[in-house]
Amino acid sequence: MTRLLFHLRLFRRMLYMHNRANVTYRGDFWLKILGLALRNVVGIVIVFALFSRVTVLAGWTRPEVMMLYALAIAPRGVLQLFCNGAWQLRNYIRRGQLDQFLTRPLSPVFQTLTLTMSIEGLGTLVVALLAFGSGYAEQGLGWGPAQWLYLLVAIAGGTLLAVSLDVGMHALVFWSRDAGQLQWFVEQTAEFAQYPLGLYHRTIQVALSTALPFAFVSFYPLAMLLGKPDGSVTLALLSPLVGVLFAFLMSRIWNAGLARYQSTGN
Amino acid sequence: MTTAGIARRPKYVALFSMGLSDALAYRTSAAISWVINGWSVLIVVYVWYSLFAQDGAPVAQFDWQAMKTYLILAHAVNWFMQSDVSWIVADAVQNGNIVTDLTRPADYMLSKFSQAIGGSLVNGTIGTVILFGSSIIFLHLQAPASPAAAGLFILACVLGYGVNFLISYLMGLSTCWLTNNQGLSWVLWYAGRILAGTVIPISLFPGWLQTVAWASPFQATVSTPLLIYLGHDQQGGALGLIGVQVAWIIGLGAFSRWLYARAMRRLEIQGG
Amino acid sequence: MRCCISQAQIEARALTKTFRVPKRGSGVTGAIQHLFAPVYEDKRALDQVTFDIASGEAVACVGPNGAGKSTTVKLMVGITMPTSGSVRIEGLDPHKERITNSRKIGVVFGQRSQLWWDLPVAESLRLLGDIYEIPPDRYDQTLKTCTELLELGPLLGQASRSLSLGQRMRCDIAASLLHSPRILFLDEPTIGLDVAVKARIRQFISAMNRERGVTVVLTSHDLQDIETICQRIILMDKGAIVFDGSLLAVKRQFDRSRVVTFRLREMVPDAAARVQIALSEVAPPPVITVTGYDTVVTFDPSHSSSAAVVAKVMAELPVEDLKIEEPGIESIIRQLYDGTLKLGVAEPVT
Repeated sequence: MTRLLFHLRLFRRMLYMHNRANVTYRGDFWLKILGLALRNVVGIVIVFALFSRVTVLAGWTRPEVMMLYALAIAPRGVLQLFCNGAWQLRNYIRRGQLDQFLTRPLSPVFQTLTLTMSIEGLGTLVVALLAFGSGYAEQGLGWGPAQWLYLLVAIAGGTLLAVSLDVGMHALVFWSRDAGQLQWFVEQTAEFAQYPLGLYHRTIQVALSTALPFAFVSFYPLAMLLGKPDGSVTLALLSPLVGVLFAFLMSRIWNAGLARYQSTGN
Repeated sequence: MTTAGIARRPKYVALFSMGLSDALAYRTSAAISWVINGWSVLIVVYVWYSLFAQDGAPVAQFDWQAMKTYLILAHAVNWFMQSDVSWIVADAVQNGNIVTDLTRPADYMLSKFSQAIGGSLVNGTIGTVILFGSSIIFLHLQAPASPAAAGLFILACVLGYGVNFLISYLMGLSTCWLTNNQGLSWVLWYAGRILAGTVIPISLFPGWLQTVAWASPFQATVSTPLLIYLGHDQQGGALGLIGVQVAWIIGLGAFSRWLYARAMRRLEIQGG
Repeated sequence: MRCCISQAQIEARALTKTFRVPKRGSGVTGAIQHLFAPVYEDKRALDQVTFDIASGEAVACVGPNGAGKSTTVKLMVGITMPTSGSVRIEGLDPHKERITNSRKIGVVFGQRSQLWWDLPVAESLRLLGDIYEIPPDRYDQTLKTCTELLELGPLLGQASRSLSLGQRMRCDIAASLLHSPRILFLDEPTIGLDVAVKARIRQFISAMNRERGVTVVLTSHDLQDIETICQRIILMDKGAIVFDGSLLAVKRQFDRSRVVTFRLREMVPDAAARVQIALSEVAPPPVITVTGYDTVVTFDPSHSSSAAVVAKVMAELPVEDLKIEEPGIESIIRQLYDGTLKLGVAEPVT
């Protein structure tokens, strides 16, 4: 418990410091936020183009898809904002920074994740918030506290899944320098969760519900909240647990990779 | 470095072959990149497939076959055009290595261009092989509108490549004025993706966005070759579209020269 | 000196580290072959290395690149684990109890800063204070000392990226001492720095060692670093310890030639022949060269003392002046680097 508090305190401190560093280049700071916002607007442009033509796609309406899209991109935004360090692991190894992490009384994975916090993740989160809000308002939904609470837990689970996969996939560089491509593949796959699962081929649906379970980030939780017939209440309630499961699995990969690094050197 | 008995190559050819052999060294990862990039295109392909399955009528002269061909080829053309010249120039300016480049008896922009096309030739060849192979097996892309369209498509790709190169090069040069150009390059990159028609055809945009897109240089990169390929070049014809590309190359090229001169003066003032 | 319980602060016993490196054929065939049937070869970076370092010592680890110095340091700070053998820091396994160990040690890697690039130095130091959970009053006190001795005052407010190499190294050394470690590991701390900064850093480290009793373990190619800071030297070559002892003892053991120059009062035409006869009992036979008034005798001091040689020559020739040259630590280390150092020829003279 004290360890947890210690980490939380450090985390707050790092957040403060990164924000100070981030605003050093003020013009660049705003452009970066805008840039990441635009990246996600690309997907929204597609949604609008589609629904200018039809009213329902795979049983989902435009406001519903907007909410789905928002839930799918939100975890990435949280990741960018608070723990965007893993993608540089290869550089940390090459530049010897990982060795330094290993001389400090602090978990190396914590140091790796928090070495970069990109305030531009706000760009992603703002788009997510707007998309979600507009979808919610347009349908005139009136969720009670239970629904909101579940939504928060689901987002937390989705974020845990995203961060875990980010760490686990990047940890593959402990074995091969080209592992970044697998991580890229996983990140691209996450984008499938931006649209209703029913659009895809059966194989992809299964993959998104098992090996790369991004459907648990957006589709299953929202399908239950909106009472869609193609959802599943059981799977929706399992969603947060998927994040926990993957946190466990990916930490095994990280530990194995780090042990390999420490036993073989570099 | 030249040893007796080895013929001396013209400098830009030498730089070209350097880019070529660099890219060849990474051919496997380039091939994998094509496949992964293709994987994410599958999302939009599925989305449009289910739309057309619901309602078979064409959308702004795109039927399912044409739309599928557009989406896949647009991503491929976009992927082919990517080069890291923006990053390379920015990095050279920031860490001062540009001084080394400037001591060489070669034009800076042409040097970077020669190197970039060397890499793109390898990347493009790999992509073409993968696309062609997968089209025969399962993608079943639509053939070019006519043999002339096929030829003009290739020409338009080459010209579009030039436009894209100039945009990236200018972005790199901007580092002379902006200490950090990452934000700007992100904005241009994502806005460019939309305005180039990579994500969806420009004719499907809302009216005002179409106007913006047509006025931007980005449409000359991806959209133009694709419209020619599909024979959707009623407005102005294929040659008219190619004329626009040439105009952009001349305009951006002249601007690059001017900005480069300004940048050099600025570097001199800063004392390099 | 050592009794029943080991007093050594650092104990390395038969430390061995083997790296497995893939052996890859060239071209596509090689790559494919490696994919299906990878062939590895073992490279021994460290072979049965044993040493003790007592609290308060200042030890230099010296050797050519690839000698195993950095590997040894990485094992002592817990970054990697040995293939066999063991290392203990105050009785703890530095790898298994990495976190406990990390509080006892400070590590400086030359050319790698531990400061956060975009942040003011003061912020980086404060964050390290949080990471090491240093009580605020002790933090302030240590920072004050470091600021004075390393003249950090004007640097604290600047971002690390805007510092020069020497300024950054001074800040980095302060950063590694904030938590008052009992052992300080320095891997090439003065590499790439200018002479004035090097001197200041040496002086500071030396003061920390002598006045505060901080154990110092240093790897360096810079002999000035070694001679100023360290009393003891561990010479390494090809993963093994070649020598371990005081700076003085190094000279004694590797001192294989002594050069004595005799200046004569007058020209002696047969000087060479006369000296040769006078020194006929000296083995191995000395080398004698005569140029003008100078007669130069080179001999092995481990077999005959300088005093004996000088006495015999002076009895034979009209000597006006003489000069005895002994090789400095520098030439010994240069020989080690060149691979021309003769090892284990004679027992050390003790």
